[in-house]
Amino acid sequence: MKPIELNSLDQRILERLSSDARVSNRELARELGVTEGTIRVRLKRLTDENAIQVVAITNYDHMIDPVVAYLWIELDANYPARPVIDALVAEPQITYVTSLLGRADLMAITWVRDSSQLVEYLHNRIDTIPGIARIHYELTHKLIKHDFRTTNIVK
Amino acid sequence: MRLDEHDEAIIALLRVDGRMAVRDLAREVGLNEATVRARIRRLEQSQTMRVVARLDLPSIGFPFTALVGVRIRGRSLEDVCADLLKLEQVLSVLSVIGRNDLEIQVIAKTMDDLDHQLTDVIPAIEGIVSLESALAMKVYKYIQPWGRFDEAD
Repeated sequence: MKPIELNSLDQRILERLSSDARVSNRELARELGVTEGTIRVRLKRLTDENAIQVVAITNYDHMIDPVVAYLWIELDANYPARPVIDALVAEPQITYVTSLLGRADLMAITWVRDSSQLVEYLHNRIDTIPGIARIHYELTHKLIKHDFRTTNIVK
Repeated sequence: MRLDEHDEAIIALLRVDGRMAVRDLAREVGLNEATVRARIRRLEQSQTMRVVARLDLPSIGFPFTALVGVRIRGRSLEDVCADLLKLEQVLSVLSVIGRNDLEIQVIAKTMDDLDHQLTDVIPAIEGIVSLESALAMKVYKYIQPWGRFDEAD
């Protein structure tokens, strides 16, 4: 969790990857004027230390009727919290899970391809997780900004 | 564009490892390398898929995240959003239905900075009448299979 030292080469690698992360090590090396081995070592360090991840994302604006919902979850104190967190993390449709100080015990973000799926999904998959006392659902109407260039890398 | 099963398979593999070699992708999906390369190019050019580097917030010096509900009165949502989007600490802005008008994620380098954003900076934006804040203590999952491509341009 602690900040890692990023030298100027790391910064340049990250900058280049943020515009096109499929660029080959050889091409990166040529552009930045270092050897391919150097690129390989720097990239390995950045990924091993969980500072970056390189992944494919698809275009939100091409989805037909996407729905993003915030789930504010209150836990039942008679149950341990960890299995609830694990169950939420394991759900492919849930993209974000955090424990909270304030507002609720946990917050999870779920997205479904269209609104007709949402009710069924929440009812059948989420409400059945034991240990959840209450969920306050907050439907998002429009995604104005959701920066995909940063994240919390969990290992 | 319409995606077939091979496109879906390529995207699924690249969601796990965006730098997987074309050779390995080709073997996994059962196509030759030239076809895989052409399909990736087509997915990118049609703005369907993008392979991106995502940076870990604590690693780049932002260990604190607050999830903040915002209520607005007397000013348009668009105008308030425009002011919020000027702040580099505001990572996401979504309009929501319910008690709050917006949900925003605010990141900070220090607790002092988070306090400054939530106590001084954001409430001073015209039209914002209340904030409802929570601190994300520990993030257990943070994936994002989709994104607004114009944000990175």
